[in-house]
Amino acid sequence: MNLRRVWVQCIKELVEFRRDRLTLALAFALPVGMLLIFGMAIRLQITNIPVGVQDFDRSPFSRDFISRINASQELIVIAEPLDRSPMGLLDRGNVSATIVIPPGTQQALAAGRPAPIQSLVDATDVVNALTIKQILTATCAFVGATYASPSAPPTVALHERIWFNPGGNEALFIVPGVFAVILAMYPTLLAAIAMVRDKERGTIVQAYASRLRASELIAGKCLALECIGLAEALAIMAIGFAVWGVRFAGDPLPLLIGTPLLVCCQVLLGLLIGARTNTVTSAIQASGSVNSLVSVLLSGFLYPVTSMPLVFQWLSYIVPARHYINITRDAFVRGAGWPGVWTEVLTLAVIASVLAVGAWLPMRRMQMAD
Amino acid sequence: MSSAFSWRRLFVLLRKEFVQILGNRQVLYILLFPPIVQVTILGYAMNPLVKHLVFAVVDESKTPASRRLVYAFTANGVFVPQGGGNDAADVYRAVQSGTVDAGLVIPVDYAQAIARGEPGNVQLVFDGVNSFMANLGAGYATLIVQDYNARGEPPPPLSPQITFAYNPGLVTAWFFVPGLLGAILMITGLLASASESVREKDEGTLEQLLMTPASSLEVLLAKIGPLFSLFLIALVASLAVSRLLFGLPFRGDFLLFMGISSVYIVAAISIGILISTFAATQQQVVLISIFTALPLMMLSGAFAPIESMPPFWQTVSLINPLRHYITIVRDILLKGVGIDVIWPNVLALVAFAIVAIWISATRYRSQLR
Repeated sequence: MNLRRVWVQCIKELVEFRRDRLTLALAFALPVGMLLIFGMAIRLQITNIPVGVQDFDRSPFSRDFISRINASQELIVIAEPLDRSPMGLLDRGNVSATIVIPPGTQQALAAGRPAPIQSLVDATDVVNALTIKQILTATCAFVGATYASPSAPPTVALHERIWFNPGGNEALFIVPGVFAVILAMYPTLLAAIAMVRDKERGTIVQAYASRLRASELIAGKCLALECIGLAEALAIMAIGFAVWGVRFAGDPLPLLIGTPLLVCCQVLLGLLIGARTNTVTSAIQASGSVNSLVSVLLSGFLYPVTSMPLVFQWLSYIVPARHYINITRDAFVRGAGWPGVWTEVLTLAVIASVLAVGAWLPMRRMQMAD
Repeated sequence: MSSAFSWRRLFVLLRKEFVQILGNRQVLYILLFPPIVQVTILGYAMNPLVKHLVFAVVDESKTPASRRLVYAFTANGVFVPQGGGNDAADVYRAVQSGTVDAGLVIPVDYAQAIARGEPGNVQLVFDGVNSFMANLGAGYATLIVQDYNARGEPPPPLSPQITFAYNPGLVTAWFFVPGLLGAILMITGLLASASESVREKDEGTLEQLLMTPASSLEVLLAKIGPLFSLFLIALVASLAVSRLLFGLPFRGDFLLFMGISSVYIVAAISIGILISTFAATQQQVVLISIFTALPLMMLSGAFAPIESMPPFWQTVSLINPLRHYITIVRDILLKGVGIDVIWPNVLALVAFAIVAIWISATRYRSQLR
């Protein structure tokens, strides 16, 4: 490999990239816009689910019960008229559950008789439904203990503690994840376009005719896009720092090594896609929709990989973003450093080398396709 | 250009567009394949419920009572024990390094405390990096311990009787598939229509269309026609697949559903055509499409709940056609309700479609001149 030819190829790519004003603008506007929207709007923590209550009891107990439910930040109680059918209320969709407190509940409790609270829960959204169930069960246990005759003390007292992010600041979870998703999407997209564009325009023939080798062509393009990808990384992390106060929690070294590795993986993947496809449209379809969906869903960005069926868990091991997301979350939230993430950094290096071979293979003859 | 609208010309143009699309294998593949495959894969893969929380256990008490408690945690598969160690410090270290999601510490005096009639204190530490998951896990743990404490006791006097409506089996795919259908139709609809209509510009054949007597409305309708019918086919096919794989119910009116879906698809295609008027090349089309589609998808309630967004973003999401479509699909499919309930969403969707067609037709026309 001739390093000077690699360097010249890299400069040529950067010049081309700089000339295409719209792509240049989009290459930075898209990641920043995505970071802002994801970081500000996406929250998984359930809050403010409206539940309708029909209080037939109208007793100190029922008022206590209702205010107790209202005090949870997950549910908001809406008093519903008593003559509506619970199912009709759910059908209208203004409430996610109805709770009926039957008449005489307080008296029944005082007398030690069982007093069921009836609830119809809209299970369309399964997470909401289970949260409502949890809160109702816990509230019944708590309020029931006050109004019913005292029962035996509990056998087990559970002390739960949540580490690293005790305030439950969800931005700390989402934002480092968005870093990974963005860096998995855009460098791949730009690389795929950079590779296939020459083919579609036919200018690749000039490269074929020259003394340039496949390895030099790929290394040159890879180097140029690596620079662009790292510039994107710097931009979004600076914004994360300024807007959400994301800071290094521990040793920054795994991140400093992992980021160029991830960008390298993604760029090589893009080059591989570009080498295998013949038109910009199909290259973009593959890198734009397939790669971004995989990076968002199989990386554990929103929902944990461990909850997926086994096949998908295995599949997720070859997704670079899955490994990198652990590195960013460790660097910015947990702060364990090398002991927690050295395997991830190593895996990224392995994936990068495999992809390098994969991108080189279809180009190695430097010939037009037959 | 100024000639009156002619059905015959529209028909001829439609035939041209159909031949063009059906002749391009790759486009067909791109339009029909992803919706079906994505609904299948994502329907299986998207799972917000916490399953298999890996937790390290250290049982310093080593008594039958403490083993019973550990068993209560692992019995339903939510908590999966992994490793552990000799003392609490090992568990803390495992949580700190991120190798486990949670750590349970049962202290030495656990059994003695219970024997004395005092509650046995146990500690459960969560890795809060994923605060959503940690909170769900903490909720499960509370219920598990509550159940455990209630063992052998008479049932508590106050208890909730909970009935799950619409989705009694709590199948998560039933919730996600409608969202995915909407999101996939939006992103493919946008991309396909935008790149189809910019291609004419890219290849320079737009001038030829310009020279014909066809009006811009006819050209536009002919462009929408084939994509529209392909997307309807893709929609029905993905619905059939989800019914087959996930048992997704269809409780509402099929004709109402198809009617609203048509409006939605037209809206998506119109946005795509609008995008194509801003872009000069395929590459720009795709970048702008992704830039438009991602916020639409993320602010729709397809993947993350709208109720949890900050109020400002909830308001913004009201102008998102995808948000209304997803609400409508979930209502028709799962709840089986009719137009009397969903009319506000339908109204919003129709209004959006009309505005989108109007703007894109205007811009498309000025581009033809």
